[in-house]
Amino acid sequence: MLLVLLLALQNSTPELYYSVTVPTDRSAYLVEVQITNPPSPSRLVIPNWAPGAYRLMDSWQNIRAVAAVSGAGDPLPVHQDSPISWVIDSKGNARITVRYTAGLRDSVQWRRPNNRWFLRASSGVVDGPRTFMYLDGWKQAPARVTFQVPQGWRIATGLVPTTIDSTIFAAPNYDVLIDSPTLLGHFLTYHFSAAGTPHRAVVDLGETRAYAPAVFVDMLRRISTTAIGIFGRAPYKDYTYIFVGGRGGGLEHLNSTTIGVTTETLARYPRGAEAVSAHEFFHAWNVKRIRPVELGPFDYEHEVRTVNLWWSEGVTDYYADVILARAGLDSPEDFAQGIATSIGNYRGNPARLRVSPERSSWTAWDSPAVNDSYVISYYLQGQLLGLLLDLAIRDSTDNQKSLDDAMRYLFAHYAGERGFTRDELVGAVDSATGGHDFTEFWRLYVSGTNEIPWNDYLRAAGWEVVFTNASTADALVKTSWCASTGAPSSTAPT
Amino acid sequence: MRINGRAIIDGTDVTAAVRAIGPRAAVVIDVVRDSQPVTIRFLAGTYSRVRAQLRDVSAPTAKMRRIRAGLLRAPR
Repeated sequence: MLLVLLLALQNSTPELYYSVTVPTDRSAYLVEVQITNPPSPSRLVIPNWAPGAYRLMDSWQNIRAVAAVSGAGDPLPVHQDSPISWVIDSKGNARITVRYTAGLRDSVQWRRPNNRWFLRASSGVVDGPRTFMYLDGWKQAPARVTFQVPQGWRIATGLVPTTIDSTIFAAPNYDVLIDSPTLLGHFLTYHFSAAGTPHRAVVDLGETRAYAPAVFVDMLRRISTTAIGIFGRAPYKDYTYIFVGGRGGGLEHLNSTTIGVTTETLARYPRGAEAVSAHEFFHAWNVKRIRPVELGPFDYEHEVRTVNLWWSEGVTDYYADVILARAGLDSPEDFAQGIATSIGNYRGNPARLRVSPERSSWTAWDSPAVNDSYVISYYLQGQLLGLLLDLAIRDSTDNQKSLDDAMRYLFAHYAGERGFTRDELVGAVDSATGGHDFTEFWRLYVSGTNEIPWNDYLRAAGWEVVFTNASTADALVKTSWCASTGAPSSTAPT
Repeated sequence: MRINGRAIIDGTDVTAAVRAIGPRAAVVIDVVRDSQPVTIRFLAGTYSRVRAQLRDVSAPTAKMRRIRAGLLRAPR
């Protein structure tokens, strides 16, 4: 009887089968979602934001021509119940198909390569949150996706291929599906092993040739090996670095990253993407697994706030510096200079005494007006707090423990079904370091905006900081400006 | 995009272009907005920038040396 019930339940579970087609005119991705055992009604939603990019992105503006048909091909009623969701009356059909297009309306922007989402003659990146709708209430259902690409195009993604050289990939749930960007088209592939785990870099440079690939791949291998060494093992079966010849920046994913780097930068300096590569790669642990409790499972319809972005992003920035130095890609002098530059930038920002790291994390989604127009980056705050914590832990344990131990503790305790709260993070750092109490540190410098007594911490490593003021020209200055196609000049901050 | 006639390809070009501009110097930026060329002219201002430098303490202890080395040494 139980078996019959289980089988009946299994049979009524919706199954989702996505298809993404690259059309000849490259105007947009053509998306089809086939749903077996659809609920009635079926509500499909395009996410309002993407994990890792903490801002609403108005994805609905890129979705057009939503239509639904039954298994027999008969049209089904569709109505939009919010800017980001569409409700389909499945009329009791055992299978329905929903079709739509996903692409930017600005055709020039759409064809310009970048690390997130584009489609041009020779390649494209499929960004999950802006391409795949989810079936409301069934985000945990397994999904499969087929990429139908022009002849000669290849496919690179962190998703699991269903067969060798497959165009069909599987995801255990929607979160994984959209956390796996896919590069389609003509691109270069470099395979390498790091700590015994397969890695690859796929590089879309358009028509441009590869520059010093051995130097480039050696950089990635060193970064990967060094980061894995901190934790002792890789948290994935394979990892894909996706580089596109576009603007800068990167975004972390479960077992991949997309990084934008100009071909000109690679031509001048093949290691030009080392800092962003180390940052995004360390995210494979810190935020993709070790995560604030709020960041997963995700509510894609509403903004999701946490006070711990300084840890997830800023401490990741600290580890990018550490990894590059430990990997021998940066010298100890480079490391010290980088830290000094960050301390100078922090000290020169009056917002450091107004907006705490937890506050800047919490208000990441908001206008600066919520903090009286004081702006400070939780990346910068977290990078420096990471250094201070590392120094404090080492000082209190005679270098027997370090921030690495706290990271390993977090990975062991908060990389599963549930993430950490603010208090659990404090407790984790305490526990990993033999019971040293960091409550006061958090009160003063994480929740609070107290001036950091730099030398109290830096002396642990034999450093002291010296501040100087220099008058300088910069883009952030009060100017009078006028645009030749605009209004006459006026005085305004730029 | 151009700053004072210098083509801007990436962030390093911006840094170099801004460094070449002295306080109160005239700046001309050429950009394309909505497919239309736009020229922005202004005078550079100044602000007081805080610079930090890390210096070695005069008599580092063995513990200090261990900690500094530990920061940059891969775990065993």
